[in-house]
Formats: sequence, structure tokens, C-alpha cells
Amino acid sequence: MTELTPANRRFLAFDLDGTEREQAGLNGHTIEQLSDYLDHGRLPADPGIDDSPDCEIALRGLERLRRAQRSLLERDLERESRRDDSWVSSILNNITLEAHAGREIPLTHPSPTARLVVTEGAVRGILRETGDRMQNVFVGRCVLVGDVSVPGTPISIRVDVTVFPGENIPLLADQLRHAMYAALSKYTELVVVAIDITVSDLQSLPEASAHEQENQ
Amino acid sequence: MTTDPASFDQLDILVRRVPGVAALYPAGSIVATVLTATLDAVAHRAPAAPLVLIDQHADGVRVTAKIGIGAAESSRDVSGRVHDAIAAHLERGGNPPVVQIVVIVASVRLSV
Amino acid sequence: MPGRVREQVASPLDAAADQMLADRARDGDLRAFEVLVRRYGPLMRVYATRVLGSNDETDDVVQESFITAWQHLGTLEDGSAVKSWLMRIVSRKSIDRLRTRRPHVNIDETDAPAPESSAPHARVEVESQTEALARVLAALPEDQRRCWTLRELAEYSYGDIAAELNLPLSTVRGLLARARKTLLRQMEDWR
Repeated sequence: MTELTPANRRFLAFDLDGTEREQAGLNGHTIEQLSDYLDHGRLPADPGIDDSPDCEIALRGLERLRRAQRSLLERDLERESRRDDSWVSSILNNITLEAHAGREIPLTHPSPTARLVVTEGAVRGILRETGDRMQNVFVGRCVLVGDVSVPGTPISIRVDVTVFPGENIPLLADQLRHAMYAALSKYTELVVVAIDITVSDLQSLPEASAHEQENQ
Repeated sequence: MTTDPASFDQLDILVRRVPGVAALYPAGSIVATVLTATLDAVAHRAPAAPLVLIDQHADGVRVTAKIGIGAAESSRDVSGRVHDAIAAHLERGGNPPVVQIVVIVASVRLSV
Repeated sequence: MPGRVREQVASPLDAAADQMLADRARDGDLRAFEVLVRRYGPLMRVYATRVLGSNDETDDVVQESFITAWQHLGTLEDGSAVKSWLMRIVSRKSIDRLRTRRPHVNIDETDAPAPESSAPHARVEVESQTEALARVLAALPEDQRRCWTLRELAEYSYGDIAAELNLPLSTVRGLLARARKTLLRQMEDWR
């Protein structure tokens, strides 16, 4: 078999047998070390690697390999994204809301045979949608704190919200809180004593987040 | 007293027709539901199993309906109406006594 | 109740951060979960296909992975880590699939040297390095390819690969070293 680089002129460090020849060809280093060095952006600088022509050859090879890996991944992802949507449908058609239904929150009815409930999952959905109907607000996590299964028990609600930069956060939080109270009183019989809203600015994510908390 | 299966079969239709009900979900176990849904999806057919669940006990029946509601009315009003409709239907059909009617509001769709 | 696919319309959620989507999905928001499925599903499919060595079972593995993810979202503490969490699930599902396919897989038997590519010089003119890499990867011994994929596509640490594949760390290092050197050597040939 003809090869572009004859086997006897091949770069010794890429030889498959053992690490001795590898280290001998790489100024005492291994391919694994060089690969980790690249992972860390060649920092902190190691003159033992940077000043070795053999290491430089190997590093260039590794970089070339990574470029090829990246373009291979891009090609594969491109192919996948051209598929029709049926795989998404088959996933979504096979999951059930039950997994996140949460606790059952009672609703009153005069008949002794009636047991009417709204699920915690539905209540979280109400809170999310209430936020989604407002401009420039994203509602994230919603937590119902307290024993929601016992009618009349005071509970509180914690909501994480992301707003777009430049918004008046206290004003928005106040509007959201009022809208949530209104929705909760319409669709549930929960006795909500507080809605704590934690606001993050979209731009400051994920590092900093302003905490705007206010009880009503 | 014997149970009239026909009056049970009609419960799905009955519940769907209650004003304010936007969706009717299977009230059975998750596994059974997923399996049925998968088989139905494979066969490209409408779900076969009744969605409203009926448990027969020695002292009567227990009915469970899981619904989604629209934005217009409160959960209590809609679920109460579903309860009343099921109760009236079972009474008319001369079925075994009703032990309990459970109505679960599993989703509230605020937007259209 | 089964989820329903909505008509695909541009939603503000499409641009939302992973953390927000994971938080909402954990609360039962199917729309947020759908955005995650679309965002990471293709990568998971590419990945499963590489680990499995073919795409015959990719649909099943990725579907199972997302169903598992949906059911266990409550255990994901840091929503911003949802990508690596999903990759972990699809890794495990893919590896489980391999185990059932070949219950008595033996490292020594499968760690044969990679076959030399046939007549590389004939292809080098017409074949891009991308295509060549795909071919060489496919020809790697299975254990090497699996380690390489876990490392390079799923970004596992050496220790995590060892735990996932139930292999000694030294074996993982050896397999990865061989995989890299084989790929590097083949790339020398394409140059």
C-alpha cells in the first residue's frame, strides 16, 4: 500500500506502541498532556512544550484534528436539522403532564360525593402564563410554599423572573404580582399571603441578579 | 342492580360538552396511558380507551375525570359543573350508587 | 395525558437561556421542554449515532433519553447545566443499548488495531478532511471510539468515562491515547 507519508518517516510520537517513544518524540510529554494543554488554551504557558519543535508539530496536528472534528460535528448537526419534525412529535407525544402535576389543591363543592381539585402543575402554569402575557417578562421557576392540600391554610409563592434590560423592575414586579393575585383568586381557592418575586436582568445573567422582594 | 356500560361510554362525550372544558385527559395510570397513546399513535387512530376513569367497588362507583379548562371561568365553576353533569348522568342511567366523583383540573389555558 | 406538538411558531422562549427553559420544564412547561428538545436533540442524535456505530437505534435512544429527562427534571439542581445533563442521559442510554446488543463485550477482543484505510492517497484529492475523519472514526475499534466520543462530544472527564464504562482509569487513558494517535497518524497521511 502506498502512503503519502512512508511509515518509516512518520512522526514517532504518533506511534501506537507504548508511551516511551511518544515521550521521547515529544520532549518528555504525552499526547494526552498536549491535548489537555490545548483544552486550557495553552495556559499557563509551558516553555517545555512551547519551545519544542516536536511538540509544536504534535500541537498543530491536534489542532487540525479539532478543526476537522468541529466541521464534522457541524456537518452532522446540519444533516440532523434537515430532518423532518416527526422525531420531535414522537417525543412530545410520549411524555405526560403527570410527571409534573405535583400536589392536588382542593376546590369546594357542596356535594359530599364531590372531590374537586386543581393540580399544583396547573397553578404553576397559570403563574407562568400570567407572566408571559406581560411585555418583557419571563417567568421561570414557581414554588408554592405551604400546605396547599388543606383548604384555608395560608401559603406563599416564590417566583423567579427575568426581565429585559432597561425595564423599571419594581414597577414590573408590582404589576406582575397584582396579575398573579388576580389569576390565583380566579382559578384557585388558595389563601396567598405573599408572592415573592426574584428578578434577574436578562443582561446581567447569569452572574448577578437583583433581588426584589416585597410582601403584600 | 347492574351497570349499564353504555352510560359509562358516554361520559367522555358528556364531559367534553360541559361549558368551560377545553381538554379531556386520560385519568388512568401513566403507564397504561402512555402505552395506549403510543399504540394509538402507531395505528394513527383516535385514543381507544375511555378517558374518564370508572372504578367499580362493592358499594358503588368512583369516577375520575381529568380536564383542562379555558380562561373564561373559574376552576371551581367548571369542575363543579363537570361533577354535577356526571352525577346527573349516572343517576338517570340507574347505575350503582356513586361513592365519589373526582374532577381534576390539570391545566388552565389562559391564552387562546 | 400526552403532550401535543404545537405548530412551530417563533416564540420568545426560543431565545431563552437554558436555565430558564429547564426551570420552566421542571415546573411542567411542555413548550419550554420542546425548545430544549429542538436545541439539543440534534447533538444527542449525532452523539448516539457515533456511540452506537450506526443510526438504526438512534431514534429510540434519543426518544427514551428525553422521556427519562422529562420525568427526572426535578432532580436537576442547576438548570444551566441541562445540556451536560442531557448528554449524560443519552450516553447512559446508548451504552445500555450496546450492553444489551453484546452482553459479553470484551475489551481485549475489541481493542484490535484500527484497519489501515484503503488507498488513502486515492481519496485524498476528493475527500475533505471532514469526510476522512468520519471514515477513520467509524473504523476505530469500538472501545476507542466510545471513549473518544464521550470525551470529545459529551465533554466527559477521564474519571467520568471510567465510571460510565466501568473501566479502570488507566484503561480509559490508554484507549483515548490510542484513539488520538490513530486519528493523528491518519491525518498525517491526508496532509
